[in-house]
Amino acid sequence: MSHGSEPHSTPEPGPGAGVSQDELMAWIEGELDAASASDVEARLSADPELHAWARATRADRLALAVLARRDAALAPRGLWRDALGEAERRALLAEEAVTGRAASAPVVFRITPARLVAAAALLIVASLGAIAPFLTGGASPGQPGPAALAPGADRGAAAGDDRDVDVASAESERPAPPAPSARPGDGASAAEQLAQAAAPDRREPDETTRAFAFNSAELAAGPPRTPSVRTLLASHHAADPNGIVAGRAVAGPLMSGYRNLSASLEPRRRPMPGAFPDAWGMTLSDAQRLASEHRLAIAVAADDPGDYLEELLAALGRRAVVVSPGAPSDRNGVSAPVELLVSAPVEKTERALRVCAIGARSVRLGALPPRSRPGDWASEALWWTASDRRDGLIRVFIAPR
Amino acid sequence: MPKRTSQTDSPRPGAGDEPDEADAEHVAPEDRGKAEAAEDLRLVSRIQSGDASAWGPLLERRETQIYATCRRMVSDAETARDLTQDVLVRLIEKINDFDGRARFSTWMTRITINHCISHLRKQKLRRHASLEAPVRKSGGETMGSLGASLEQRSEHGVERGVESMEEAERVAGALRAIDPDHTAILTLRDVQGLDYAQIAETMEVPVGTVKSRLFRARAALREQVERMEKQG
Repeated sequence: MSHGSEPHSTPEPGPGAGVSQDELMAWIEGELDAASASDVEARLSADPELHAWARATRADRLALAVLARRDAALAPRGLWRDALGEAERRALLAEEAVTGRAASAPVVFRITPARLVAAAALLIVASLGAIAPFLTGGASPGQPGPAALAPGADRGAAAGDDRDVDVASAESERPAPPAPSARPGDGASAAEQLAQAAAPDRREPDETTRAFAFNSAELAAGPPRTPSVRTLLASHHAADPNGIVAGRAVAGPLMSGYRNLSASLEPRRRPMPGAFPDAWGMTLSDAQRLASEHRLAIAVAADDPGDYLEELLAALGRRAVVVSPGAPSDRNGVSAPVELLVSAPVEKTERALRVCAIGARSVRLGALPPRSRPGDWASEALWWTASDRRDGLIRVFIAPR
Repeated sequence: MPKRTSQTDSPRPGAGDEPDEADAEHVAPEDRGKAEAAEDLRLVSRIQSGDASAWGPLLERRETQIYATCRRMVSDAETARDLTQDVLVRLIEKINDFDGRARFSTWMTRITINHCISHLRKQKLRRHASLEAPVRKSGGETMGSLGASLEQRSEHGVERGVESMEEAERVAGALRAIDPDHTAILTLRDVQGLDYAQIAETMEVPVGTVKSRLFRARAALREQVERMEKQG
C-alpha cells in the first residue's frame, strides 16, 4: 500500500509539523519501520500539541487492541448451536407460512356428495343388518344391536356417551385395532366402513404400523438405508381407529425446508452438535435411555393420540409425561385432529410450563409466551424444542400422512 | 519518505499486539490468512452442497471473532451475545448467497458490522428521543474543527499509554458514543486487525475513503475520550 500519495481530500494534521495525514496515521498505527517512525516523531515534536494528540490516539488504539484480546478470551462459546436452532425454527415457520396453511387449518369433517352417498349406503346396510335377525327368525347372540352400529358406539357405549375422553386413560377407551385380515364389508364395523368411505385412498393399516413407533419392525431391524424424516414417518403411518386421517405431516417441512440441517440425520448415532435432529430413527432402548436422561420430547400429531399414548408411555417406562393433551377425540367416532406434546420429564420449570401451553386447543393461553401463535401448535412445539438450550434434545415426530 | 512496514507484517491488534507473539507462531500472517480463507471456503462449499456437519467447524472458528466485534460496538456483554447470535443466524440463512468472490471472513464481517451499525442507530434514535442530545457527529470534521478539538483537549490525555483497564474501558465507552460509522471502522481496524484493503472490501468503499474515514474516526474517538475524561 502506497503511503503519502493519498488523499488530498483528507485534512492535514496540523500546520507546522510537516507531517502528512498518512504519515501520522501510519505512526499512530505502528505501521512504520523504526527509522521512519523516528523521523516522523522528530517532526511531530515540532508541534507539541499535535504530538500529544497523536500519542494519545495511539494509546486509544492500543486500548482497543487490549480489550479485543480480553473480549476474545471471554467470548461465550457455542452460540452457534443456538443460532442453528433459531435458523431452523425460522425456516420452519417460513415454510409453514407458505405451505402449511392448509395443514394448520382446522380439519373438519366435510359433508360431500360422495360421502353422503357412502353414508346413505352404509345406513341402508346397517338398517338391513338390524332387521335381518327379525327377518331371518331372531338375533344371534354375537351380533350387536342397532345402537352398537352407530358411529362411535364402540367407543362410548360401555362407559356412557357423555363422558370426556381422557387421554391418560385412553387405552381403556381405545377400541381394539382391526384384525389384519379385516376387509371392507367383511365383518368390519360400521365405523370402519364409514372411515373407508370417507378416506378411500388411505392405506390399509397393519399391525406393524399400528404399533407404537419404537416397536416397529423397521426400526428394530436397524436404521433405514436412507434415513430421513420421511422414511421415519412412513414407518409410522397409521390410521385412526375411526379411519380418519388428519393429513398432517409435521416433520415434512423440516426435512424439505432445511436440507442443510437435516442432511446429517443418522439413526443410532447422536448427531453432531449443531446438526439438529429433526427426527431421529431410534431403537426402543435408545428412546428409553434418552427419556431417562431427560432428553426426549415427542410431538404426536394424530387423529387420536390416545392410540399412541399408552404404548408410548409404557415404552418409555412412564418417564415421559403428557404435558399438553390437546383436544380429545369427539365422542361420535369422527375424530378431530388432536395434537399433543409429550415431554420427558415434566419439570416444574418455567420452560416446562410454557410447553404445557402448546396445543391445538389448549385453553392455557395465559401461559403462552409472546412468540406463541395460538393454534399453530406445530410451530410452537418445534420452536420450544428447537430453542431448548440443552444439547441433544431429541425430538421425534409421529404424524399420520 | 518514511517507510511503512507491510500491513500484513504488522502486528494485528485483534490477534495479538506483541511482536513476540507473532514471531512465535512461525507462520507469516499473510499465509495464515490465506490458509484460513481456504479452510472457510472449503467448509462453506460443503455446507452449500448439503453437508450440515460443516456448520460446526465453520461457525465455531468464527463466533469469537464476531462476538469480539459486537462487544466493542455495544455497551454490554449480553447485547453483544444477542447480536452475535443474530449475526450467526443471518450467516446461516444467507449462506447460499455467499458466492466466494470475497473472503468468507470479509462477508461475515460485513454482515456483523452492518448489523451492529443498525442496532446502534436504533439505540441512538431512542436515546435521542428520550434523554440526551445526540452525540455530535464528526464525520464531516474539517481541519479547523480538528484543530479546535486539539486545543480543547486536557493535559492529562497526553503522555499516556493504556495504564489501566479502567482507561481502556473509557476508550471503549467513547467508541460506543461516537457515530456508528466511526465505531465500525475503528472496530475493523483496531479490534479485528484488518488492513486497509480488507476494510475497503468489507465496507465496499475505496481504500482512500477508508484512510480518510479512519482518520476522522480516530479524531472523533479522541475527542470523545477527552470529553469523558473531563466529565470524570
